Amino acid sequence: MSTATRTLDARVLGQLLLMQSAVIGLPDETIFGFVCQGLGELPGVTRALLVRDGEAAATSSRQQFPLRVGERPLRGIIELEVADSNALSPYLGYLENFCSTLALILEERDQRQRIQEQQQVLEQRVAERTRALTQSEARFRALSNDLPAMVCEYLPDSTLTYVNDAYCAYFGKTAKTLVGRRFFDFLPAEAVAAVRREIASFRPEQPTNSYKHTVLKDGKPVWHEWMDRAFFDETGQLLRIQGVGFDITARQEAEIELAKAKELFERAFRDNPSLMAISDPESGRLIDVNNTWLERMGLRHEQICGKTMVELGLFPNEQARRQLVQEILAGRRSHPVEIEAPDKNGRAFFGEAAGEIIHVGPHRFLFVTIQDLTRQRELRTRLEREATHDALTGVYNRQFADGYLIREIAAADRLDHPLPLLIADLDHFKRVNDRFGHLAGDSVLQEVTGRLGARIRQNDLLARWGGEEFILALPGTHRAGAVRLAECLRRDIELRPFEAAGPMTLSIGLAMWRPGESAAQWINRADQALYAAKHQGRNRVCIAADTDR
Amino acid sequence: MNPPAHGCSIGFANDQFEPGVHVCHIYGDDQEQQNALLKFLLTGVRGGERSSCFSEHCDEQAIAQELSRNGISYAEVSRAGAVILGGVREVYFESGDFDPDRMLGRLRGLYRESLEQGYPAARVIGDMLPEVLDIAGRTRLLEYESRVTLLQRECPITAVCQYDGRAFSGADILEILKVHPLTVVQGAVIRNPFYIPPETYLALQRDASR
Repeated sequence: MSTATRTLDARVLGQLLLMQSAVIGLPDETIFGFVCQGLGELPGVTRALLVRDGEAAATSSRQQFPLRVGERPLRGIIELEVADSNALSPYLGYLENFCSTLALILEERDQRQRIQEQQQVLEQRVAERTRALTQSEARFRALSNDLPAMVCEYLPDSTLTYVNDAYCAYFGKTAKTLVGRRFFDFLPAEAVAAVRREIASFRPEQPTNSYKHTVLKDGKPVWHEWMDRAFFDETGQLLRIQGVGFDITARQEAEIELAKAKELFERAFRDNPSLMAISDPESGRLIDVNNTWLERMGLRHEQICGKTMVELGLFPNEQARRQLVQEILAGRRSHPVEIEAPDKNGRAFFGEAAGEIIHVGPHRFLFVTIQDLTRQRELRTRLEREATHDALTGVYNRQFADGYLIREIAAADRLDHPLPLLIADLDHFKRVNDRFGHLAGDSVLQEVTGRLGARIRQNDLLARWGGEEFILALPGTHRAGAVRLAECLRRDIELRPFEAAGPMTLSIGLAMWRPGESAAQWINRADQALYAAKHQGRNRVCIAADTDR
Repeated sequence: MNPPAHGCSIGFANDQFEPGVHVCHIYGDDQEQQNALLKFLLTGVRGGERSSCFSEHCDEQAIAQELSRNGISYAEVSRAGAVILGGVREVYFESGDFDPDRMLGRLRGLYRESLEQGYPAARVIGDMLPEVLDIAGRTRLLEYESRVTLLQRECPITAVCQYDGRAFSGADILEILKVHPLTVVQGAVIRNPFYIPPETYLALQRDASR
């Protein structure tokens, strides 16, 4: 091999450089044709072509230059058909460099292609997303315009960027005149301060707010309620706020009225002197009771609510409760139900319960009012007792005894049973008063009634007939039994001296009622028998004539 | 003392060239082609040269805008004949064939007429259609291009020949390079190492055809 053949031709090197530069601007499909044509011009080369890996083996007449990036093969091998290897040999190193550079160019191009494809996919996705967003926004706008609520979007300085139809209609302006304006300019100062506070309170972690404020509309203050949502950028900077607002003036006024009504109800219900309760008409369970109820019964709210009036012992039984509810539901006037139960002190509580169904929306409640009649009942009882009882001794008085005797006469006549009458009189009672005083006398009378009362039956009569005189009626007792009792009574007085007056005696007249006899006649006979006992020396029992039963 | 030779940019990297250069511009996309065309015409008009463009992609409005952006009225220069626009088919393929002699005669006439009209130089940019290969064949095209270089020794008309890298094969492009002394690579005009002088090239062609 001569030295001359190894001389490098700068022109050939220039060709390699030119091809290297030119391929950058050539389209893919042109590159290999261009390169192979150019390499075919190299000294000693008859033809250049691109073959796939492994299609041909290198020989002395074939030089192969794999296109690789690192170890990774790329597209194939540049193969040169060599006629004069000596002529080519000075350029082999340059050829390898050329092929390496070509591979890098192709790799870069492939990567760019992939990036472009990815970019296209991304652009397509962005376009689709933008389209979807546009549609979504259009739907949002349409939806927001259909809403009766006011919808707006504004910047932190209150510049409106969007208003819906309802907003425009409310303020009687067009979107064109509102958008771009700062609503701070047409809100009253108090409202501006309120909105400024709300805007300042937005945080990325707390982007929503709800608040109320007043604005002037046609010169009148109206109430607005706004629900705002703030949008921030990635640094936490507040970008814009979206608001949905309602004119709540009517609601606000209704709430004031409601508050008044509630206060009224509280006063009428909580502090009503009657016991009041609200319950579920179906289950009978109490939902609420007033303060009077709690105070009167000495119970706490939680001890009452959830229980039925039957469980609290205020109602006789569940059946009666249901019946009352049915009557009320049927629109019939319910008769007051008498209630008797122990109060907080264990004393009897008397009341009259009346019910009424209250409808609140779809719900209905049983409103129960219990009138506290305890004091009336106690007064009545006391008056009744005073009318029928002797104030000093506590036994029945003569007035009651008159009625009793008439009733018992009727019963004895109807049932044909014996009816004895005893009139007892303390002997020399006047002396007690004179000697020991009236208090001692009273004490003796009280003790006498105690002793007499202890000997008779529940349904027998013991009444103070007057002064130191007592009357006893023993319905159904035969003459012998009556005589025996009379003797017992007499002996009890005689044998047990009185603490206040010492020894005393008792005279008793006994008369059995005779059929057809009036009460007066009967009493008179018993009185005659007493007179006889007195006359015969006192401290004895005398039996009236014609007393044979 | 001779006056200094007229030198002018042909639109690539503001390099100054004396009249009569023959440049091959292989482009990869339409934008590249259009930019080169506009810059070629703009620099030609600016340099006072009579500038011609033979291209199917000769957008008259784009040319007017490019000139207008640079303070030149297209209407005026066009009316004065300083800018001549023509389609490839009407210029290169007149009567449906491609005749190198006719084309060379047209270039020669254009050059002489330009100088007679007082232009310091004339330039032409042509965007060759690939159908030339079907109409005339590669040999005739390369013969023409090689003879343009010969013509330029006599009539130094500046010529930039545009070839669409997407429409011509790689092998064709390399052959086309061989008949252009200069070529554009990465936006710069460089001396073409593949270039074969016309005498040699045409002789080789003659030998090959025998």
